[in-house]
Amino acid sequence: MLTLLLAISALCALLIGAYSLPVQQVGLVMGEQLLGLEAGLPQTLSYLVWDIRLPRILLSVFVGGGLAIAGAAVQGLFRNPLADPALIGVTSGAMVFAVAGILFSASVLGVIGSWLGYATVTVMAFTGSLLTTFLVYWLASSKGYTSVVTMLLAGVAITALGGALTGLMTYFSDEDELRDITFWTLGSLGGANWQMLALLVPLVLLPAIILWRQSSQLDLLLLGEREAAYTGVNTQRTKWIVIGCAALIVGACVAVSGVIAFVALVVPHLVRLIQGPRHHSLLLGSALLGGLLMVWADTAARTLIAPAELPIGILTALLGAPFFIWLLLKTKRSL
Amino acid sequence: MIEANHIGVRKSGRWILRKAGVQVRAGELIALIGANGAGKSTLLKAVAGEITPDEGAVAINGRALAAWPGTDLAQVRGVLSQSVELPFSMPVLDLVEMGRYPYQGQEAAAHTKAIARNCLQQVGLQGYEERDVRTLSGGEQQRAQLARVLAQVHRDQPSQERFLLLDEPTASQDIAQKQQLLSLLRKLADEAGLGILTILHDLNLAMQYADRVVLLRGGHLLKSGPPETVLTPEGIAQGFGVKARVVHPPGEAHPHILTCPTAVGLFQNEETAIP
Amino acid sequence: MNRFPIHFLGVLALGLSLIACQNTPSAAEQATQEAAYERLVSLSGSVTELLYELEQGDKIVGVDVTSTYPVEQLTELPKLGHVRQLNVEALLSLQPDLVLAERTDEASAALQQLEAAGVEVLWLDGSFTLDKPLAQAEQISEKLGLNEELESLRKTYKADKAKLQQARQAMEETPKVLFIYARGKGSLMVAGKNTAASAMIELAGGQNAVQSFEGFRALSAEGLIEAQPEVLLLFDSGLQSLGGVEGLLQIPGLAQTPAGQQGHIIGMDGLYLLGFTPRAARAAADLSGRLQALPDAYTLN
Repeated sequence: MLTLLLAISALCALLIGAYSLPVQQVGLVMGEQLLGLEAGLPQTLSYLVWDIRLPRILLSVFVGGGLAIAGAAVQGLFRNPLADPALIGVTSGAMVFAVAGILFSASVLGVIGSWLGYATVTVMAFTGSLLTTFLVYWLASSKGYTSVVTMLLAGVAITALGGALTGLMTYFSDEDELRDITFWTLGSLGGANWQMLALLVPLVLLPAIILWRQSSQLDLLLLGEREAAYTGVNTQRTKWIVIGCAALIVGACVAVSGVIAFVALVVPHLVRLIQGPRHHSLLLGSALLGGLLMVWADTAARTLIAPAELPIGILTALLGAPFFIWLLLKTKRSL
Repeated sequence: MIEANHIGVRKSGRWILRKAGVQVRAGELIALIGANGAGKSTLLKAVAGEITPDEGAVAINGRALAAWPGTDLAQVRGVLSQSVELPFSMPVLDLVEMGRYPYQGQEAAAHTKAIARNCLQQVGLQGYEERDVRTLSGGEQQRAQLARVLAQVHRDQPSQERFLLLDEPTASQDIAQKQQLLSLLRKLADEAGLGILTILHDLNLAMQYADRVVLLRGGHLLKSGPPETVLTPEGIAQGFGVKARVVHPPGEAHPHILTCPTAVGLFQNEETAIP
Repeated sequence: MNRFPIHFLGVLALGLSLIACQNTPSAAEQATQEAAYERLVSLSGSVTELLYELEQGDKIVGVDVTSTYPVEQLTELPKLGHVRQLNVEALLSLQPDLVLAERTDEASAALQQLEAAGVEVLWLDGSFTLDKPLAQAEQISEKLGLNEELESLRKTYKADKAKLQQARQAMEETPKVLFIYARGKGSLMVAGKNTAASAMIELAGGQNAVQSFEGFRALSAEGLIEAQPEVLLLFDSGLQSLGGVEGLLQIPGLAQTPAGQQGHIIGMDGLYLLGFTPRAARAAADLSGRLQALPDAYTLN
């Protein structure tokens, strides 16, 4: 059901854009690319559909789906509906490194910068998110045991530290850099291309599948670590896998799209309302719904104020925050 | 058989349990009793494997606890903690099905469901399958959790002795439900051959249903044996510091314990340190 | 999860192939490209201004957010947002045959995509000198084949530069000018060396008050007093964001500077002052004139 909806949405999104194209032309481009038809379309047109619109839609599917599935898994692990992958430091780590990438790409990191080219910020953000997550994980571990509560606290501390470092770098940035930093923190899927997708898809898909295979373990972790262990779950292993996979997914998503708020937090909630908290359906549902919502959010981002573009992070926060408040009020009433 | 011998557990450099032990055979219902802080929960946790004892060892079916792979161990012993809270709403049946985790991939979904329904019925929660766990009363929630643990050790054709470790399963039950719950445990021991080790606060329930009683005091094993031999006025006085009478009402199969209110003083901070 | 992309791609491919079979292309719909550039997009305020100066304004089909002059002509044109946050598709929908952008924005992924889509991009080199507008005008003229327009621009510009020369000669001192970039009280930065601001101040015959660092840095009360600026220079918009002159002087340290005490505060339009547009020489002359015409004292009430 959701799969079908997602497919239809993606199709619709392919037809909607600032550049108004008739259905048949989009079809022709796809025909040219997929079936090898000779339609004789101008280069700009096929580039527009095949190299700008389509990668962007696919990117939004994977970023939305990835963020949502990571959010669902992390909420399950922390047994907390308010948990967000940002809590374990992924986002702030990505931010610190991305800002560093923007700032120092010309100077200190010149060598790396020239080697990576325009991907510097992306690679930096991804590295940053992984490093911070492992730092948080390491801080919360002692003698082979990782405390989930300590991890939350360490996450908060590291996020604060990350915020300070980002602030410090922002303080010393010039006008152009500041603008780049601002745009990065607002999130955008504007830079989508096939190379980016080729990098992102495995980094989202593989951890997502691994997470999905931990569904039963995550279910039991809802009862608490002790009960899960009594029921035969290797809780330490599950924690490792969930944190690792979530960091990979979120790190990859944040790296290509900047900070996109609320998707990881709100989508799992929505799915839980419909399907309940069992992770087998929750993770799958979150991935699909996350992708679905992101496709529409990005379609809105690129068409609402066209010919300019709305940062998608603003859009998701604008939509996500009121929804979240509504959820809170609803829970309050039911208590 | 569960064998826990000479168990010692230290916490912050101080022994909170020492030279305590318990044996549980298949088909036996054993009550673990003692005043608060006597070490009941610690002993139960050591037997369950949550705490690794600093002294002594626990073996289940002849195999040291540490040598059991997680899911194999889960198939032969289920543990019910005192209170388990769910962070999200969930149907009762789903909760019970989750107990079948150790058999994941080994049985059909329909079979899992059938087992879960059966276990719900055993704890008297038939008809509650689709109810949200979090809307149940405390007592019902506890029974739902018990159903989950029952599902965990359920076997159509048991190949090994299986055990239940329960931490005060009667805590939030009313007087009728307490009797029903203990009857169920008795039945599980007698008919399904489960070995059950349960912490009980109600001495009369222990007297009535247990095969043996293990009385702890200050982290030590005070007495263990058939209820009538442990739950004597002397035993109760030693274990709880309370004067009690044991009476045999005519026509009743088991003696009743009456505590004498006059003998109970104010709360005292009794030094329970162990050498 | 592992099933969904296959489903998804399957449905996608099916749907698209159905659509593809429905229609044949009408080649007539596609306008053939001409050699001459008729549809221009400018992604820089100063370039937009140049295009108007070169009488190419009617060819512009879209501009970026920094393009604010000439005001009337630009109100009708689609605004494409900031060059670092471009909607490539929307830009393509304007069907430009030439996009003009500053070389400094070359790293923009969107502009890379634009070039890949087959849209020609003219990268304009620039520096913070009076030669910049002319150099860029030459680049544009070469591309668009403009001669007379360039000549007339050169003439006007030469006249402007001559006026600037006069204005500078009339100056008796070189006042220490501090440029403050403000976006509300929380965001105050001062221009150091190697900035458009310091270049402009020097062109106008002043001296940049900050010599100790390059680029922009956040303003500090102590640094302010140390710099001892005699004139404060701001964008009109920046001055407005602080609540005018009075708001500005409430910022700690500012009132204690000579500029603050004497009320030597100048506000100018941002693009005009620091855009190094074709009006750059005029702007410098303007600034020079205003530096000379400053009141001797300014009383605070």
